[in-house]
Amino acid sequence: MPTPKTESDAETTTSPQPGIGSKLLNNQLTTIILILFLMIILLGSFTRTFLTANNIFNVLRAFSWIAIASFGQSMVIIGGGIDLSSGSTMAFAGIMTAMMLSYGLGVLVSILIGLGFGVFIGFINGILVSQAKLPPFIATLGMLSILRGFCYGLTSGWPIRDLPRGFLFLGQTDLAFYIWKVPLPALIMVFFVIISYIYLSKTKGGYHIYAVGGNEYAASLAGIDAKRVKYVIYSLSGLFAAVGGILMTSRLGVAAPTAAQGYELDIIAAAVIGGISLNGGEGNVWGALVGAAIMQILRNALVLVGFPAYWQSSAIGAVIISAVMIDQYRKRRI
Amino acid sequence: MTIYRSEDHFIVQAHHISKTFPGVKALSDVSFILREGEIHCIVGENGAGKSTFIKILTGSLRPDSGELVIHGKSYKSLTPYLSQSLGIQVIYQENILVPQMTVAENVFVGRERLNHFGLIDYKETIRLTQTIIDSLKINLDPETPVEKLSPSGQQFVKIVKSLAYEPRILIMDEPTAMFNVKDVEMVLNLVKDISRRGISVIYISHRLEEISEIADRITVFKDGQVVATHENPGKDFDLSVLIREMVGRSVEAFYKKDRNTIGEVVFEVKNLRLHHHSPEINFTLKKGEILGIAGLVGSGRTEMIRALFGMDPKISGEVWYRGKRITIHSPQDSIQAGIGLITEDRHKTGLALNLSVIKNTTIAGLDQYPGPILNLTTEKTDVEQFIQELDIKTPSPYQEVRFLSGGNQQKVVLARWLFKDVDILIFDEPTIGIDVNSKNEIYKLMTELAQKGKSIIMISSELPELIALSDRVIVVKNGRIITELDDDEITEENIISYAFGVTDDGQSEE
Repeated sequence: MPTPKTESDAETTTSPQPGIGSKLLNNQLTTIILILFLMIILLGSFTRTFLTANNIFNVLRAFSWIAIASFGQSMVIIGGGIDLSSGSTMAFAGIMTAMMLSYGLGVLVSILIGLGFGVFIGFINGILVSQAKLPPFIATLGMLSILRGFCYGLTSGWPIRDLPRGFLFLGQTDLAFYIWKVPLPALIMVFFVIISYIYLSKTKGGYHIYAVGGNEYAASLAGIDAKRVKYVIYSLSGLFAAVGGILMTSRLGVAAPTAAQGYELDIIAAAVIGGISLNGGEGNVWGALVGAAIMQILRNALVLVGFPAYWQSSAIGAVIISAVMIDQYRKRRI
Repeated sequence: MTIYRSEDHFIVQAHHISKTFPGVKALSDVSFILREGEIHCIVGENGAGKSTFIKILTGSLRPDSGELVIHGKSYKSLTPYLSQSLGIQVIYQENILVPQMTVAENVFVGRERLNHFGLIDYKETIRLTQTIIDSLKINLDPETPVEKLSPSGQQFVKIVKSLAYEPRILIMDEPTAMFNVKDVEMVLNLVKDISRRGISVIYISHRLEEISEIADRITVFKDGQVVATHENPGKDFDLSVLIREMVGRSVEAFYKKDRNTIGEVVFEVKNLRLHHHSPEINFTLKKGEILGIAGLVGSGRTEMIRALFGMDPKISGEVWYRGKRITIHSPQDSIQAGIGLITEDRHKTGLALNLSVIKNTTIAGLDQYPGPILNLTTEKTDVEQFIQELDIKTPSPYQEVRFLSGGNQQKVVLARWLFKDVDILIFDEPTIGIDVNSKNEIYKLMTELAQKGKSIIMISSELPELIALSDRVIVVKNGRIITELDDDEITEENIISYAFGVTDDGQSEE
């Protein structure tokens, strides 16, 4: 029976055909960048200290570790998983590096060993998820606890101090850039966000991550080795967490077994605020960067405006919930 | 048709029911009468309108027009709640049981028996369940968790559950599909027993022999219409009459394929076995050929293709491609060899819905771009070419595919395999859920691909589509290739009688 030709057309065009303006408005990244700028403007006008170069760079330095770990986390979440062990991995990689340093190994070798452990931990997570078929939440929750135990056990609960100068350089140096002194960790963060962006958005491997996160079954029918993709994303998450952890240790000058406790939640929150959907297949690392920045600026702001420190965590929680609610509202409108 | 309003032993009277879905007339002017205590069988091929009609009786669909008279009261439409309170119960094919709960808990889930304290009265639950089980003279322990039961045991639980509602009308959708031969006999006796208690049974089945054995009356559905209703007093109804009524659609209005030249055999499956006791599967595919695979839903067509493509393990079998033996252990192996699969369920297994048209198109064929970093401009240009060639209606190549219509989504899946440049394409239900216009476009594309020398395997439940497009058709039943039909043999009548197992090769299991 003949149906008018327009039927399938009509169905297609029910979706909006966005112009540049509405496209920008509908873009999650734009939304959160706007929120970020709004925060900066408000803070700049209400406090005298916020918009000083010194404070800005402090903020940058403070969130660089979280942000870097969050880029790895983003890959896992885009690939349809989650990595709860990234906070523990940060602490563990810092401790391993510090231990190597205290054995007298060179800075570079020690760092490489720390990074190697990060990759190894991630790889184990990958095995647990893709071979043992554990739900990612459970596998990495277990890993979170195991690693924390290692942190305490290997150090007997004592922080490792007296790290060599050459190592402290990494986290504590500021590079002169025109009139500013830019902290090295912030530059490393920028390097990692660019690398991650290129990997996710412009390489085959990155496409495969989106495909597996978007529809794992369909991806494997398209010839993608979903297991391999999972090894890669968890290993990268481990590696990025290790980078963050080593930078953190270098900045603090001490590797404490209690370090980075609960950071996994900040790392995940940064990704989620940045529009990376926990359902997988959606978002990008720029979002995670802005998400991490928003959280750190909020912390900074709460201090600057004299918000009681004990209540900070509630304020941050409220921001996470509102950010995701705004995002869902935006999506429903589409 | 006469209207029997006054007669009270007509429990259900459906008068002139019509229902249209976008692009499809699912039911047109259907009238149907159910008498008290009768077993009324409904037959018809897939898509004949049986399920739509049942859904109207259960209240999950509203008819566009027509009237339902149930227990002498007239209704324009029903709701699920109303349908249940009128005493209508359905035993679905799908699993509706909670595996971890016991038989008794499953029977009374949602209507739990409570004691004086408002807590669940487990003893009473078990007692009531046992009463029903005893009345059916079957062997079932009310305290066994359902997951421990065999498939046929679970099927019995569904029957017990529906009887616990004390229905007046029981609708059974393919109740014997899950049973082995011995249990089928039990189920049939059970159905007769249920009807003797005065419960009217609407019984849907593809197994014509059992229908002729138990039915008091038989109604044949075809293309959303009732062809005829027959009395079956002697329980020996002539099956060839039913077959004849189920076929005979005019194919003239349908898509006509241009015949093209077919080359030599490029692909051959030898002695493929899915399980230890399953039959061997052998078939060939030629260059430029469209090979249709026919069979009822559940006949094993899809399982065959899944194993072939490497999605499910197989016991044995060889696959030869262009004179070379290839090993397929995973979908990757198949794709590597140049085979692409377009699955039945685009949303679940075909597309990543929240990704763009571009990503969904190139995902299987990224290897053809050199170097690790993709040139996104080249990629976009390539995809735009397919969008134009296949006439995919999308506002932009960056559009997420979930916003496209079914037909355009299907074209995106097709574009993926054309981009990958595979030589063999397997379509599982190529036009499922697609409107009529897009269907014809898909047919045209499939024909063009065959003309370009690609080979196509097409599984389809739509006979007109199979007949119009296929150069050759193999018919599958119970996991076995029953017959192979060529040219003039490809008729609706032939396919149906083989698929329903009336014309047999003599070694069928029933």
